[in-house]
Amino acid sequence: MNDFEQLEKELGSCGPLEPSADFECRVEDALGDSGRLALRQLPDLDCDNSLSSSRTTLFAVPGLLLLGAAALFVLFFSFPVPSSSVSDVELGLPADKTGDSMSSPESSSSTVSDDSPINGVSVEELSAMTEEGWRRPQEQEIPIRFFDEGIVERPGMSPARQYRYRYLDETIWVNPETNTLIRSSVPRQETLLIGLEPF
Amino acid sequence: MKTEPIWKAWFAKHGAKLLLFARQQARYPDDAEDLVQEAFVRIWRLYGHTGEVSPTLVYRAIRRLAIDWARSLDRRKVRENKVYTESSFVDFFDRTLEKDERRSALLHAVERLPPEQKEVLTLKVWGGLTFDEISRALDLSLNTVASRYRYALSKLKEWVPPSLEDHPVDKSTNT
Repeated sequence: MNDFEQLEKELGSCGPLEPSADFECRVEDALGDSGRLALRQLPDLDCDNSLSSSRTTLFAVPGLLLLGAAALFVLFFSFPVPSSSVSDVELGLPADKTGDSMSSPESSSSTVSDDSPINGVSVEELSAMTEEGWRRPQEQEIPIRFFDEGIVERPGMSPARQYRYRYLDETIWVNPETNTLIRSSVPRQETLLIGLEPF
Repeated sequence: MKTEPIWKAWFAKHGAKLLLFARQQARYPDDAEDLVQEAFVRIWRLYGHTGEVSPTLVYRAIRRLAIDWARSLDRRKVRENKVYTESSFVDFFDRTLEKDERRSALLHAVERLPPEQKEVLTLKVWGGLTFDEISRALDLSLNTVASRYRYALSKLKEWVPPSLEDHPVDKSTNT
């Protein structure tokens, strides 16, 4: 085969035409959701990361963020807060966490309404947010886990591959004037079905 | 920090090779892009979530689809609505190659090869597949693949001698 090495090199040096941009757009449209199942991060400095390490990072970074957020959450509610800085919003916390100095008839009697957009915070307490000084809420979607649940049968339809994504939707309200912060973390789950065409 | 779907990087690496193979496999030249799209989408939907898809699977899917489409009545209707342009193997490569007489002659010679040798040569030289991968993509034995490749190179060597610069190949014999 050594006789052919030169020939192979010459043939290999001829580069086939690249697909057109139009064609790539067509492929992207045809892929739909399945094209967005696996993503890689494009760091500003280091663009040469391998795909596998990018995928690891994709799920590792949100995990670290999540841990950090959880630690902040615990710290925020476990440390005793000086009474001068306690706002109306914080009075809705359970008495065993906030201590005796914070329990008042008004706060202990407040109930969590089903209409509340935030878990554990009543609408009355949220009314404090109508006061001035609140910044626009910061919202972020933290991916937690991703499951490939395999191929599922759908009655009367083609089979599909089922993916389950778990997120934590985090919203933070901050009022720098009263030194108040409300953090809401709501778990969310999404199921994605990618239709398959058996052939 | 931005994110990009992994398939884009994968397609940037393999898209041109897949298209070249599809152009060989397609009964009609304009079917090549449709073949690549259909095969790639099907395979990516099955395995794309892992971010790593073996190109052999897509080559195999292209070949099978090309056979199916050649038999399909539906595709015949689609084809009837298209205007086809004749193109040679050299047209599937970078246009600047036309200026390089020897490489251009080599590509014209590849076009003259029997289809079964041409597909093996394409997968090996431009697809970068191993003989084992080619045998799986084409459903052939390893020995058959290796011998077809050897025959193809022998013919090319015979048709396009190294001293071609002094004796250009007559392109009229290449169709």
